[in-house]
Amino acid sequence: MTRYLLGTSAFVAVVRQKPADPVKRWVDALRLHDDELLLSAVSVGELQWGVNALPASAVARATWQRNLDDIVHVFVSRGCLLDFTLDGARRWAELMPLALGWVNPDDGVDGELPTVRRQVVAQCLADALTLVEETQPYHAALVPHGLAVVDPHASAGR
Amino acid sequence: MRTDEPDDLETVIQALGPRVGEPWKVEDAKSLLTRLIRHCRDGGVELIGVQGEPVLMISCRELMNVAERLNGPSTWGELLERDTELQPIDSPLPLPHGAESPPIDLEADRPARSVA
Repeated sequence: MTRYLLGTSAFVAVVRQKPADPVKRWVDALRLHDDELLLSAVSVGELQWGVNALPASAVARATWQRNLDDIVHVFVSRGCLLDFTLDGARRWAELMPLALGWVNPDDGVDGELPTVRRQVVAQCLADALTLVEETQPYHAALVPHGLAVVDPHASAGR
Repeated sequence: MRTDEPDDLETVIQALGPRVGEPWKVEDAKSLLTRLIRHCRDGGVELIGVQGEPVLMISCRELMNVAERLNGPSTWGELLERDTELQPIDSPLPLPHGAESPPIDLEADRPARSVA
């Protein structure tokens, strides 16, 4: 059994529910009883932050919130919501000084892996999970630290 | 089978086959146990001895898992289809990443706070 942790960008894709999205298709096809799919509470917070930042008048805001609530409920009811733990916090402290290149999937701009995303990656390392995320420059740097990644975009043939 | 939650157990047994209240034939019981054990996770079943008789211990949670594995959705797609009313969203959700703060300087001398 492989234990997967949805990266935050992958989680956005699942909440967004675009039928042709490679992440949605990968998650939809994942066998419930053969593998485990986990979601970080940190990712939930980041998405909620994003929804809160949408203008109250935005037509899609209510749909984002409803989809987010529905999906979080499913993860919670299956015991698949992962809290940020003490071990995760200690791994995060190790990651903070590292130069970790990251491309923002929203705008394609190169930068450093943001603090909040480092918390998700740290929890992934602390629990020896496989991160579900589109390939990022920082992945190679963290392989020696034990990071395992699956990229649904790559398996979909891009 | 021992459980703290008889309602759950009844649900599971009904889902597995023979109806509660109907006498089970030996063949039914053998078939049921075979199916049940085949769908348990490793470590989900424990064999213990009670007064010299072997007893199979299965937790109620494991029984519920078995029932879901037998009768419930088999993929995350089917699960989300069953348990949610998700709508596709055309517009993206740009995520703010906030201001990055420097590490705490543990050697810095903090100015004394004035006490009123």
